[in-house]
Amino acid sequence: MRSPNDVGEYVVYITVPPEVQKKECVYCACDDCQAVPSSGEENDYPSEDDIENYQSEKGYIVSRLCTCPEDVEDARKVISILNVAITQYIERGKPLDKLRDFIYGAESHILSRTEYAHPDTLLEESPATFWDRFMRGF
Amino acid sequence: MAATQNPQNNGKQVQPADLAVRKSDPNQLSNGKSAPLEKAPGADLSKLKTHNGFPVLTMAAFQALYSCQSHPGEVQTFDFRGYVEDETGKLMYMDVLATNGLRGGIHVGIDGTTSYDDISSK
Repeated sequence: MRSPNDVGEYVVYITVPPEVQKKECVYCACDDCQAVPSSGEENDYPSEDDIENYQSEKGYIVSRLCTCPEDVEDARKVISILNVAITQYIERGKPLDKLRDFIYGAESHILSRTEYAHPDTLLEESPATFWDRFMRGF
Repeated sequence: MAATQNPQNNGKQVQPADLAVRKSDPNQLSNGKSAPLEKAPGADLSKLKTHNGFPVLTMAAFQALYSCQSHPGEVQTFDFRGYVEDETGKLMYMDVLATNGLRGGIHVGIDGTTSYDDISSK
C-alpha cells in the first residue's frame, strides 16, 4: 500500500471548460493552453476547424513540478503557497496561455526564497505585494 | 477530533487540516496564508475512520469533495492528505489540493504523485 513517504513529486492539473476557452480566445492542446491567432496571421497554428474542435472539449494544462518531498523540506507548505499563487493568477484574469510559464516561474521563485526563509515565514516580508510584483511580468 | 499519534508523520499528531475545505477569501489570497479552515461538508471528524492517523474517505466522498463547489461563483479549496478506500476495500494514499469555481469553472488540482502510473492514468 502506498504511504505518505511514497509521494515522489507533485503535478498540477488545470481543467479549462470549453466556454472559458472560447470566451478567453484560447485553446488547450498537448497539456497546454495557447492564444487563438489573429485572423490572417501567418503561423504554424492549427487550422480554424482544429481550434474549434479543441475548444469544444474540456482542456487541460498539466505541469510536473520540481518540488519533491525527498529534496525539499516542508514541500507540502511550498505546494500550498503555489496553489494560492495559481488561484490568484487565474482570479485576477491573467492570460491563460501564459499560465504554465507562470507556474514554473512561481515555483522557482518560491524555492529560491526557501533557501533563506522557512516556508511559514516565506511571505512575511511583503505579503501584500509579493505576488503583485511577481505577476507584473505576466 | 481526538488527535491520533501517527507513526508515518514523524510522530506528529494528526490535525483536522488533513481534511478541510477552505472558502477562499480574496484578502487572504495575497499573502499565501490559509483562510479559516472548515470541516469538509458531511465529514464529522470525530467519527471519521482513520488509518495510520490519517483520515479515510470512501472513493465517492473523495471524488465529490475533489470537485466540490457549494455555490456558483464561490471558490473553494479541498485540502486532503489521507487514504481513500475503493469498492474492494483497498486503501490508497492521496495528497491533493483541489480548487474549484475559478473564473467560470476552471479547476486547479495539485496532486502528490506516487508513481508514473498515476500520471498516465489521469
